[in-house]
Amino acid sequence: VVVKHDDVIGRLRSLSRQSVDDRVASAHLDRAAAAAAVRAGSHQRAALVAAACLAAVALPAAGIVLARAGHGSDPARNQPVLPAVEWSCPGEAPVIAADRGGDTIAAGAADRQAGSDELVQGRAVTCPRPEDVVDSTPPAECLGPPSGTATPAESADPKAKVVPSTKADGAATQGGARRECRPATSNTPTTVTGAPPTSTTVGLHAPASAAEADSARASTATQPGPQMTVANPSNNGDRSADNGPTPADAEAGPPPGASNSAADVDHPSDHLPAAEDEAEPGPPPGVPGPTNTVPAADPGRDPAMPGPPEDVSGPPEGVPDQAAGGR
Amino acid sequence: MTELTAFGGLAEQGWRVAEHVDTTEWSPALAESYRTFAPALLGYFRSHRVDQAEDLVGDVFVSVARNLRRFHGDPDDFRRWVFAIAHRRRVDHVRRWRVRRRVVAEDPPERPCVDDRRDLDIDLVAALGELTPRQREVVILRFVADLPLEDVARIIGRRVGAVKALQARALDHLAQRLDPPNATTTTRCAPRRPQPASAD
Repeated sequence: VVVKHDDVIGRLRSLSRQSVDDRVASAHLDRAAAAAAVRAGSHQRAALVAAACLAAVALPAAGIVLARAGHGSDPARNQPVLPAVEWSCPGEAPVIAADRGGDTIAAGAADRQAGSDELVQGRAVTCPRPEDVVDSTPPAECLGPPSGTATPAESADPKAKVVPSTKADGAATQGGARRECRPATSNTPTTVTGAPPTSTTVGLHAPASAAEADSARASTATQPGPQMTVANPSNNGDRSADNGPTPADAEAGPPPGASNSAADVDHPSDHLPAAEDEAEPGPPPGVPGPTNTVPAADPGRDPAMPGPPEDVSGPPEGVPDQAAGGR
Repeated sequence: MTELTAFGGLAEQGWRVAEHVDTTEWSPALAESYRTFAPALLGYFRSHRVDQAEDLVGDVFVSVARNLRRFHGDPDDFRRWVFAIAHRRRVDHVRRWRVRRRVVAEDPPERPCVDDRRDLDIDLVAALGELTPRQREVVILRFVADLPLEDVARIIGRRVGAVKALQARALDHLAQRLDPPNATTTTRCAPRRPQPASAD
């Protein structure tokens, strides 16, 4: 007797209905759950590592692209980035020595010429003009003792005749030993204090045009120079009896808002009108003015000592007001 | 996207999944797939007379759980995927068994007849052992795993016509070898035999 194919198939299909023990099923599902959890954790770790690597690579690249495209938030960063060479403004323009591939000698020479032209153009935009360049070497007197302890040579200076006792001077004398030195260039106007540096290095953002560079120079030129200070407090009150301004006084910049022309500061006598304009007119000698309240406000104060800056518009007691009647 | 919800109506075995199994997003789907495919997988491995058939079922579901997120397809695709994994696991098991047999150089001890095989048709399993490995694989995948001819051909790497021929010859042999349905079986436990000579 031969069994039909359908019977064989039915018996084969019955093999697929095997019973599974609950404990075995539980163990199998635990194993599967643990394996899936481990795989999910490894996927998360892999995703985190991939994200970190992507960020480490993409963020600097994006920053470089934005910097080159000029889309930064800082307007000052929208300027073109200069090539990575040092720009020495004095002297000849350096030649770029970078390797540009070196296909042929002619191509290399053309590249070098192009680089040199680029440097010359950049120097014309960024380097300061010769008249604006101030020697940054401090004068010899700045390296010596404070100017308050004037040397005999300074005391004998014939230019020290008129000593305008300005408000700024009075305020400066309150500072005691504070002193500042200015670059020593006798023939150039010293009112230019914000001269650009003489050497521009890698990564500087050059002005977009020559007009911007000029405007930047003009803005720095109008800034007031540092004020002259005298370190010796004993000389503060009676500078009129002293030997007058030192050469450093003559080189001191005008008060804020003063003219920037060289004629305004070349001669010490030219300080006087400006000092009169700046200083509030004090009361006549012997008449206490509304602003001359230093002795009344501080009876125990030494009259020889200067008052606070807001109270020095008039001369201290016992000191003739030279701004008003000294001439 | 994994479409395991269609397997809900297929779990009629009645046994429940342990309650301490974590019920995460994929865990219910995995438990449902286990309820659906574990009996068939166990019959698949037992039909091939594979030792440690339950362990291999667990290995299959570990692989399923590891790669379940990457699966895309319908329930038929999932069924073919599960039994393809089972086929590869069985082939690996047979290869490992050959290596162990060479190392031991003697037959393993006889396995006692246990009650968990009471659902197994011993005569049918014995008749399957007389088929060629390719015929046995075809009829088990075709009727125990309940896969269509195309899926069987894809799993074993043969054409559909070759699978049809293998199936016909296997059924002829089984029909001649098996007793009629009303005939009484003399043994409950399958005789201990060495593993199949070849994996496929």
